[in-house]
Amino acid sequence: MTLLPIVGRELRVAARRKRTYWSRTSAAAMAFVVIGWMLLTVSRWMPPEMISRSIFSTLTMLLFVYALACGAGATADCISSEKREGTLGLLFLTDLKGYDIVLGKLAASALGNFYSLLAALPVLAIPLLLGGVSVDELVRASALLVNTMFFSVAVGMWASVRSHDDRRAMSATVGMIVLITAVLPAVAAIVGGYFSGRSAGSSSMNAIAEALLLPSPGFAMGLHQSMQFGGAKLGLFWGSLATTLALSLAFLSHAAWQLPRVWQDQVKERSFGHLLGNLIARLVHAVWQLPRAWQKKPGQPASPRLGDFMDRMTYGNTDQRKRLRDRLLDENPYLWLAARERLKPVVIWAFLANLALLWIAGAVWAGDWFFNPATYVMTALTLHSALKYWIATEASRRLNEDRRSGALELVLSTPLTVPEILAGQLRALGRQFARPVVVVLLIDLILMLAYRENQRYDEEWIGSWAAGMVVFVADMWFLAWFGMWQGLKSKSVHAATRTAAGVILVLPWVLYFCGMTLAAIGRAHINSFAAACALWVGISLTVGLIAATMARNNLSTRLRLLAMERYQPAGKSSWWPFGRKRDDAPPVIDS
Amino acid sequence: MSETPPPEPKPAVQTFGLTRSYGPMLALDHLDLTIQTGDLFGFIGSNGAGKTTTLRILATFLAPSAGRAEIFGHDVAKDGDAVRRMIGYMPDFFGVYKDMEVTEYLDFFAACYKIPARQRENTCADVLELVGLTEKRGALVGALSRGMQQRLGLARVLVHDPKLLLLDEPASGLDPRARIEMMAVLHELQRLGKTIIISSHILSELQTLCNTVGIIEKGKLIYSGPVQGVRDQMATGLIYWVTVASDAARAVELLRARPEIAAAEPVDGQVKVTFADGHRDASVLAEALLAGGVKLTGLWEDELGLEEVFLRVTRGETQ
Ligand SMILES: Nc1ncnc2c1ncn2[C@@H]1O[C@H](COP(=O)(O)OP(=O)(O)OP(=O)(O)O)[C@@H](O)[C@H]1O
Ligand SMILES: [Mg+2]
Repeated sequence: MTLLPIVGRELRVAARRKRTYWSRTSAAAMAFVVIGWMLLTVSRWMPPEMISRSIFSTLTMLLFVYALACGAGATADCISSEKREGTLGLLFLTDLKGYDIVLGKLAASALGNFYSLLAALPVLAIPLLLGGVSVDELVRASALLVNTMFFSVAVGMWASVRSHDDRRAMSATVGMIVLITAVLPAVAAIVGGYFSGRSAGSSSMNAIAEALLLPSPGFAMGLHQSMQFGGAKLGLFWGSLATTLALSLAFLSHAAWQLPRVWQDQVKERSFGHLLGNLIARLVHAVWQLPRAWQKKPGQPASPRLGDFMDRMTYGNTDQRKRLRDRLLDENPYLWLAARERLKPVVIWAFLANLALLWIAGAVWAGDWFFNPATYVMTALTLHSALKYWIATEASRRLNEDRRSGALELVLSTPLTVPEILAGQLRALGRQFARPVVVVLLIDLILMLAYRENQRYDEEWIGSWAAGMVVFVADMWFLAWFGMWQGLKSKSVHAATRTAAGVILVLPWVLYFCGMTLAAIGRAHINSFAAACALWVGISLTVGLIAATMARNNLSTRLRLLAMERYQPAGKSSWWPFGRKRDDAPPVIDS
Repeated sequence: MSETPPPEPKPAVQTFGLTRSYGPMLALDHLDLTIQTGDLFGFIGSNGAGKTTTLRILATFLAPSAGRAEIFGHDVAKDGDAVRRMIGYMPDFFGVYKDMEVTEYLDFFAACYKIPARQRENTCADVLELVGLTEKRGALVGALSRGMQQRLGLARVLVHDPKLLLLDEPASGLDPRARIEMMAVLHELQRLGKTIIISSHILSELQTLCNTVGIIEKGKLIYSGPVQGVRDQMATGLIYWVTVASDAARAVELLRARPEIAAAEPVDGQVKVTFADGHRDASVLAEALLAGGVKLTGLWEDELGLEEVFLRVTRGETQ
């Protein structure tokens, strides 16, 4: 009997998988591209030492973000998905232990990302050869990155064990990572008076600040970046890494300890499982209950449970449900199906309101310093990316869940036509997103005009905002179509969203960088800002248009086929997101 | 089967050399099936025989690799929309929308069939009544037991009042009472003029329920026709039980001597007689015993159930 049987199996499977090979290669290739690009573009006006330094920090920063994102990308849904499919219990019928499964799943879902990171690390050593970066720094960066990735996947695992719904798992992961990495240090900064210019507070305050800072990979990253200027905070850096590591292990142990206790949960969680929404719902519920609680006479039935309450919040009471049905069903049954969770649009507004609060808090706290172009651009970027990602998940959700559950098959056995289904889903997305998109565009406009008073880079400023807004609206449309298609053919909503975001959002950037690099190699420098901007918009629109058109064609011609051939054996392995279903590695369960 | 085309104008279902392969494997092998309008047709076969495959093709979910199938004269491959309006298909496994209320669920599917809103409410109430789920009308679908979901599935199939029902193992997961009730519902539906195809493993029920059956084995139709005919046609050797007043051993001797009789053996004081193929005249028995001076006190035909026939004609092999 080998130790940790699942881990061993996953390692062997991963080693054979084509995707592992590809992701490793492409990670290293990407790192090379970044280096090449920086060498080509900035090399003319920087001393070599500076170049190698900036390459090193840029790469470290990129890899750091990648490492942090891995939790949400790789592990967040790995246990919760098995809970939803009811396969988790089967694992426990064997004599596997909690830690077996947690570690096995961890290996299964995060190994690819880990290999990618390892593949990129040697590239990080290239600046070493150019001079200006020491071996020590390289060692520190590597330790930091690996540690950060471990932290992020551990949090993902922890959240996954606690969740049933994928949206809940995802938001819990992101929430926890952001909390520890960024929010706590920010609080520490306020407590310790780091930024406000006041002299440091009392030593107990400093101790608190330190306790909040140490576990944060963000803090370690900050130290790492500042150490190149010769700060002597080596102890603090390694201390922070050790704290983060301890915390990661704590997350994992907690997950392993909890797992055997949660797999039996019969709780019917509603598909709407947003952590934030849940929290608010609990509050509202409590407030709603308050006047009733003291009126309650003995013998009265117990007050409605939170689950019922959530249900009521999500779908309305029987009358409200009926009214929505009467309105939408006759128009397009699928529209009703996709739009009947009335909280969905509310959650977007809640998200926007939260951001607004944060923004105001930032403005109040930081004062004049807050009102600068960087803040505006960051705000717009956050809004745009959030809504884009959001629509990708929503577009793929209905079709994906219904195809997997077999409900789509039932719908297709009725005379409802494929164009009606697509139109219904699109209109549901419209109901959910149209108004928020308009509001975001208005915000864009305001932010754009807010800086115009200072004159100077007027045209470039306006131009880049216009470009961003055009691409934003277009991407929402592209993502709706491409997301639906991916939802239909992917294993999970998660995988669908990942592919959709990869093709519509990331691919244009990669092509843009490649284009710029080629231009630089060819000595055809794209010097004018307008040209660079136009290149980016052009690439984004072209890529999106091609992807959306293909998705649309595929949906119209193959929806029926894909939804019905339910035991279709997986096709040949393919990295091409437009064609047949990807041959994903077998899940742990089916050994 | 090489039967002559029936006199009726349009059979409910007719397949012509229907073939479906999955890769190299033939799941259906030149199936020629005819089901008349108004029949309650039982579809029997071992696991993997091809029942689900046939039903999925009829429900327009799968394209045949060769041959074709017609439902009320409409080709399933070419005229899918028309076919879908006429059939109610209940798959062996089907997904439900767990977070819908029972009425919502039916309302939604009724809307998919373009039933106008005013009519929908009544229809849903009616079909719920029919399957005995009226009390659960406000419950969440996910909170129903498996058997209740199965009933809801049957209700769903009925909302648009289809002419042909394709039910793939509808009774699985039902308790004995619910099964009997479902059979009663199906009987009633047949009386209302619907054609029903039901695949099932519970043969004793099909035997009393259906008026026609089809037996499929490894993708080939080996019998199709009236239930009573199965025995006559498929069973090799009719069996009779005989009791005699005196010496059973003598009776066995006498019976074995007759050429029409393949075997005779004493079992628990009675004699079990198996006729040779092609012989079915029981008077032979009386004659033989009388001639030998043995007094015949009882004679009855062995009731060969559908299950025994099924076991005899299939080998239970899966492909
Ligand atoms: N998608 C598929 N890919 C490959 N083979 C398939 C597929 N679907 C069915 N088969 C094969 O076709 C044959 C017939 O399957 P089918 O589901 O029709 O059997 P069945 O009679 O319904 O069996 P059961 O009684 O178990 O439901 C089986 O051998 C099965 O393995
Ligand atoms: Mg079957």
